Amino acid sequence: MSKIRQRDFTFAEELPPHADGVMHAYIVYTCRKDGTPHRYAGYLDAPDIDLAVEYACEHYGQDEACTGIWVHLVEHLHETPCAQEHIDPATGSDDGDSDSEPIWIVFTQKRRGDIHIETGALHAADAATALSKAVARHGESTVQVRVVLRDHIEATEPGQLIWRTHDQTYRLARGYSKSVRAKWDAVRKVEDVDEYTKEDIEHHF
Amino acid sequence: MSGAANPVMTIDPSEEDQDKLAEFESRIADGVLIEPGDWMPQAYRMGMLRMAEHHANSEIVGALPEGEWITRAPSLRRKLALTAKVQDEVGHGQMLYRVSQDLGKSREDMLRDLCTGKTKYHNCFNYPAPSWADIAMVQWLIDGAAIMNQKTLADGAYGPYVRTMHRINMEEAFHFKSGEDMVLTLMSGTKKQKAMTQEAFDRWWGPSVMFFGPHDKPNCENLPPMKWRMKTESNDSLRQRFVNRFAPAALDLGLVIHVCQKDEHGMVTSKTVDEQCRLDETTGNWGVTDPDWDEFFRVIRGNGPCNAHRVALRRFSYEQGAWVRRAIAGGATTLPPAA
Repeated sequence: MSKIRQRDFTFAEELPPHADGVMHAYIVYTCRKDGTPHRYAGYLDAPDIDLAVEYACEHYGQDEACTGIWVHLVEHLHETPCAQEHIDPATGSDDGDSDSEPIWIVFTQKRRGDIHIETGALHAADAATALSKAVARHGESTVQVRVVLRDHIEATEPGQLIWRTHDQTYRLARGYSKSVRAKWDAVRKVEDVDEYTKEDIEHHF
Repeated sequence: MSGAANPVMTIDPSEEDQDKLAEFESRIADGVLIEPGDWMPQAYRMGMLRMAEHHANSEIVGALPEGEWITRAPSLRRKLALTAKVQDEVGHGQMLYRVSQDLGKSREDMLRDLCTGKTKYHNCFNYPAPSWADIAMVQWLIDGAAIMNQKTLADGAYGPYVRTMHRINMEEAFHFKSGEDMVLTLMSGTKKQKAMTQEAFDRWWGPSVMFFGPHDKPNCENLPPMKWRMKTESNDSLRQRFVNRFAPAALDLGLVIHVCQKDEHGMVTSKTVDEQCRLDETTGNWGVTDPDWDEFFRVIRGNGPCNAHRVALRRFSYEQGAWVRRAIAGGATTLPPAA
């Protein structure tokens, strides 16, 4: 039996002071392979953006093999309302880019419930113009377009080791699938095992 | 699945904007997903918040019995796997707390309400895990049940929760496979290992059958939780699918399905073979003795074998972490150099 289980906890009546207000919400994107778009992974709370990147690497960077992580404050996101069907690209306007203007990264959502995926980048003087251009250029067949100023995004260093390179099959379903199947087949009929595995999760890390 | 009445069932629908409510319901009926910027009934917002918070609490309390076993895992690979699993579960908690935060409750309030017992977590984590085989059973039966449940939740209507469910399920696949591997290994081992596995199975079969919650109310498809696709399958239907999947698998493995009496510590005091647990050829369904629902409600109300200990340990961890939060609040965010 664990020693912690026999431990007799005694507490002061009050909990320690409330720590609200020091954490901010950050959105996290992961890039699975160099040269592929960043994909929404999730979000997290952190006191500042440097720690947000650290937390993101420890959490989202350890779930799946990835080569890069982007993080930005939720407040730095500018988005169109989420459309019921599709947004109309004609509601945006595109008057070309000027290199002197800052760069915005565009993310789009194909269907409600989907994740947002990096779709491109553009130059614009302000958020409203960036969003309007993004709608015109990337709004086709999407329900929502988001833009974030590139300078607001904190990224891991190119080549930075996020996903550990040693054998990690112990923490992935595929590290067990074959041996588990062989062990089931040794004690059950093949058709029973087939039926049983129908409930398995098909897509996993 | 927890103690107090769910707001989704208690908020008076006549207080909602009726035109917007009708539009909301027709979109849900058309299979349209709800995203955070959309109008939603207050009962839906409160209900989703409560569901995601309860789920988040369950993830982090569920890591407690497993965390106790990390130092005593039987091999390095099992230790690595269990450490990774516990890390995953806490990560799921963090993602689900974020979903709840966006629905209007602060993370601090949620963590504190869990410590003080104001909010609940899943009932099954109030049972003891006294042997390594219990860890195997939790990963096979409880994670197996959780996956079946979460796959249906991933078909729900609330976008942020659905996205989180997809990501969580990607990781749950590992937990379940690793659990199967442990159970299969133990059941092909020595007599002593098999006996230990049977004892753990006896402790966890009952809580697994109760996992999906009590029998459904009549007409549950038309009540808000299912009508609004907060959940997409009834408790009894999920339970039946679980029994159909796991009862024959357990029997083929050489396990015996028992109806058990337990003491106040959750340890089995007497058991008889479950005569109901057999295949009904006409329906194709496996039978199972109806669980002791008095026990279910007793545990939910805080009087299960491990309730007090789990909450105390969570509070202990929360208080131990206070200096970290203080350090962060004080701006001392410089990290030590990487090793």
